[in-house]
Amino acid sequence: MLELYSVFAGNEHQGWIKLAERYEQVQSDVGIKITYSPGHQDNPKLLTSIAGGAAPDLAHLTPFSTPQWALLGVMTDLTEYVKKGPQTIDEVDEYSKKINTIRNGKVVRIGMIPWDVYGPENSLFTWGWAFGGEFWDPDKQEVTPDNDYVVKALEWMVRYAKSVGGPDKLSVTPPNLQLHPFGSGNIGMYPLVVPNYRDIRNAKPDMKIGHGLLPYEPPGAKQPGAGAWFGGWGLFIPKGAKNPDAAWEFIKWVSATPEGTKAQWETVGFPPAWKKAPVLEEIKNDPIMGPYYNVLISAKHSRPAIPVGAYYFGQIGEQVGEAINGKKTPLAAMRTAKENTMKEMQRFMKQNA
Amino acid sequence: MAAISMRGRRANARARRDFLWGLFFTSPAIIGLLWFTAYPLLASFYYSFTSYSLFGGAKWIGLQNYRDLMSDDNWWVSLYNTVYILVGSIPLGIITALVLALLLNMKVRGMAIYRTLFYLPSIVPAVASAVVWAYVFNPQYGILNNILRIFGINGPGWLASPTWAKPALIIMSVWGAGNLMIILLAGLQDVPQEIYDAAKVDGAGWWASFWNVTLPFLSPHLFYALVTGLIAGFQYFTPAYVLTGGNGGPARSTLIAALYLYQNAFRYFKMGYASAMAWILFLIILVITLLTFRTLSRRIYYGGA
Repeated sequence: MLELYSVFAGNEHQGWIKLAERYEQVQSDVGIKITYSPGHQDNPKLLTSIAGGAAPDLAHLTPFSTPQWALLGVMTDLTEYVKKGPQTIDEVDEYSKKINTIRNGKVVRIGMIPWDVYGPENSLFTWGWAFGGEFWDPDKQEVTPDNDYVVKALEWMVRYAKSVGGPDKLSVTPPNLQLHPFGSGNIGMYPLVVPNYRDIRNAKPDMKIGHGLLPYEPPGAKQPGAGAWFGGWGLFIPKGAKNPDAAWEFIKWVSATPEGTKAQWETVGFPPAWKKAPVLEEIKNDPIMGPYYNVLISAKHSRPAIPVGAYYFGQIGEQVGEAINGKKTPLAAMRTAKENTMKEMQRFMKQNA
Repeated sequence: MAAISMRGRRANARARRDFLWGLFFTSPAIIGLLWFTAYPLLASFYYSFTSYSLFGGAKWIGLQNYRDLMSDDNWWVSLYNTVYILVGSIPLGIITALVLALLLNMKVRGMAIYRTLFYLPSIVPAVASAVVWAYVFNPQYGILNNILRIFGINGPGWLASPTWAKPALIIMSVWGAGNLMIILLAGLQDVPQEIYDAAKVDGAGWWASFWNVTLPFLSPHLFYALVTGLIAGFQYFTPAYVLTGGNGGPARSTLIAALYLYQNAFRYFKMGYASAMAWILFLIILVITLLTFRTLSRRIYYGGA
């Protein structure tokens, strides 16, 4: 029996249970138990279970967290599994990086909503890229929230907030606890991720929703949709898992086999990351989900994978909040985020690398 | 002589046997205390002098965590936020509980029902009540802004506003006044009726009677409320966490000390740093509690039955 700690609640939680049942149908050796372990930037239940030696066999993480969690020894190293040989030739390409089971495609923005708040951090990434900015300089090994175009994007966000009287003047309430506020019909445009969009389409079939690529801002960005980015979730095998081999089989099935990726799409509902998944063709021709296909294929950005990802993310969230609420200028806010993050990165590398 | 010493020795043996049996029966509690309280306490003290990510060994760095805390802007912001909420919610909570207790002390019909109703909110699980309060504070549909609208006031964004988020949390804390209300009610019922009668004979009106009779008799309970309120206030966590998704927003306005501690422990993998915060908070609570006792205990009147 494999145990999977899942961060998802609501409909997605049910989806994962159905996915586990599908896996149990295609083979008879392994059962999967889905345990709810909520978390996004922090997941105390999961981390404590790993630190305490009672790790589950599988758990979710975002690609953003992977470098730091890898450095801390939270995950089982999959290198030897990879070398054991994938089951199809195409899997070789996919397995050369980390395992990304799930990716979200979305018309205007591709990102991850693990629960219902998009947050100031994701907003900055979205518009920062839409303006042509970058958040990480690989040559200098530096975070770059103070990149000119990122700052311009933040300035635009601040101007917009001011024009409606301030962010605290906004009051758009979701119709219920499950639906994204866009479903209230009171927001004109919104970058939505697949599950939110699907829920709204299902809950409000009469609502007329158009779609398009993410707006962009020249000269930094070159065309519409330039800002689209991947978020999504992956699966990892925690250190100390009791059944790593069986867990690996499940990861392979769900992320890189035609049946597994199709089962995941039908139960949980995130577009799979495997480029050769046949279910992607279905997505392309689906009347509701079709727009996501284009972005899936062409999106270029992903949040930088650095060892202090969670901290960087937190800093951006805090400093964007400061700027939007008029407590700091955008440039000052981003400079603070950079300083603090670089300091934290040096501390972390010194003590853990 | 010999008979007495024989009796003495038998008494000693019995006393020791009784002691051992006592130890045996209390051992579950002692083991629990050592394992779940003493050990984590001492461990966190140790970790506060290390750099510890939760995975892999802790590296000794001496007082570095404490030094870093002193220059950490977020730490000072979090202390300010914590004290702000404390200073608002403790008086408000005590006054609310007192008023409710005074009302409930009147011999009116259906009092048991009212007592239950007022007490119920304090036993609703913290997370569930935070979710309910999020709706109360909703700028568009929430009850609070609806009521304000009746008086022609355009309510603020509450939890979405850096200025009003803390006041919102303070208002929300009144929800738990039921606990203290019951304690104060018990205290009120302990005040001897003769003293009230004597005061009336002396010509005391309601307020004079309240100030000179009721309050002194209630002073131990109010003192208890103050001390426990202070201790709990520095540990305030759940409502702020649930209502901001653990982010302390907007713009760090609800970043309280316990929340910043939590972020460092479970998001940034800085267990040592978080442990140092915990011990600084402990010291603060200790000093404030001692000060409170030093200054106020002389004025407490222990005349109750």
